[in-house]
Amino acid sequence: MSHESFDDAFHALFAERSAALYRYVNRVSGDPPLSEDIVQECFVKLHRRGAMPDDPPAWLMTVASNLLRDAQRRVARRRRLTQTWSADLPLGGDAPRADAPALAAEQVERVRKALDQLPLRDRQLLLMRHEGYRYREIADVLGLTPTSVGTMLVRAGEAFRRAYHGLFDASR
Amino acid sequence: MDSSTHPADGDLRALLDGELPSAQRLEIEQHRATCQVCRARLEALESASRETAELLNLLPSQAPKLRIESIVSRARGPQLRWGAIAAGLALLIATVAGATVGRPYVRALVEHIRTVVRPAPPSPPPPPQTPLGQLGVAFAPGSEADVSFDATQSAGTLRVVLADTSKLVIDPTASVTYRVQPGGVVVHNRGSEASYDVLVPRYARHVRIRVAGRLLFEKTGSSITATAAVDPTGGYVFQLR
Repeated sequence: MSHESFDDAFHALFAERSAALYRYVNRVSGDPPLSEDIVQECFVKLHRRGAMPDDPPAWLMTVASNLLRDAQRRVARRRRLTQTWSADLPLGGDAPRADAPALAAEQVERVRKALDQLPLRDRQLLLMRHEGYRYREIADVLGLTPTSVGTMLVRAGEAFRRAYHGLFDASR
Repeated sequence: MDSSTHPADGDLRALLDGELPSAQRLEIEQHRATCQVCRARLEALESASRETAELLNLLPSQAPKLRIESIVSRARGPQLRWGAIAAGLALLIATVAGATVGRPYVRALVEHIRTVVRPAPPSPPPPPQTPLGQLGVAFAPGSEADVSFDATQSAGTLRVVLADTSKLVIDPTASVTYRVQPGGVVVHNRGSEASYDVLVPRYARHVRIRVAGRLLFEKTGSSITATAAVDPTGGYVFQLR
């Protein structure tokens, strides 16, 4: 691929995928500044690669997934270091908008907390599928077999809804 | 599949998602046509899947305006340490010139460049440090806390963030050694290229952060003085060079 055609493909991919990648990473992490950093890092790595991978969206998702895992390790290490970090304190996340109805903001917060109760892989699984990724792509990024994705989606979905309804019941 | 064997939930979910190979899809659909249990299970899975999607749709979906120019600029930025290469070349030229000409000012120049390229180790042997070579340290800052990095670095950043913690945390990307002492911590970072996140408790009364003796950040009550502006993520980012 010539330099010009790589640059063109890079710009097109950025225009097409950067917002969706950010949305996915932000929904998995609940941390907008971290999500912005991760998306930028993904595209920096791609640009430095100098050639398009066979499946650019899957490649971006794999890099993002690795960066998310690194970030989660850092957060876990900080928690161990501080030991006083309240589990209730958000590590980031979009603050509910002041003009948003309180109930809607509470519901969003419950969804966020329910997701945060899931292991990172289950969060990624649910949100990749939610973004429309096929089983084969999900399996490649998360290191699963495609035939296990359906079962794992069912279980992750059940765990998510159970956590959400548990939080809902606790708030009543 | 005989009529008494029900497909697994994972296969039913894959059917709903259009992810089953055609032979398996046909088999399950034939079974479903005659199996009330599986029809009910499929409906339940579809409803659960819809509820999950509706809940996930509540999460923020707007992306900030990411600038491709800054990404391309970062990607094209120097990955080699041109400063070190230039200093090395200068040292070579000056050494040759010094050996050839032997003039005092050339020798002085060589010595000066040597200190830049290969800083002299600190003269006293380093005191025992506890703990050694670990990733990160946290301590309660007390009424005053000084965080002192021994040296500047050839690479790496220092990001200072106010946080709702009771401990001051230093979180590097690679192991360094620390000496925690009354009133603060000394980070022995000479030769390191790590980057550091420093979480300063929001309610700490007085915190100073120095690099190679230079005061970069000071928090007194709610007042903050820093040599870097706060970035969009709410942190103060300092280059360690």
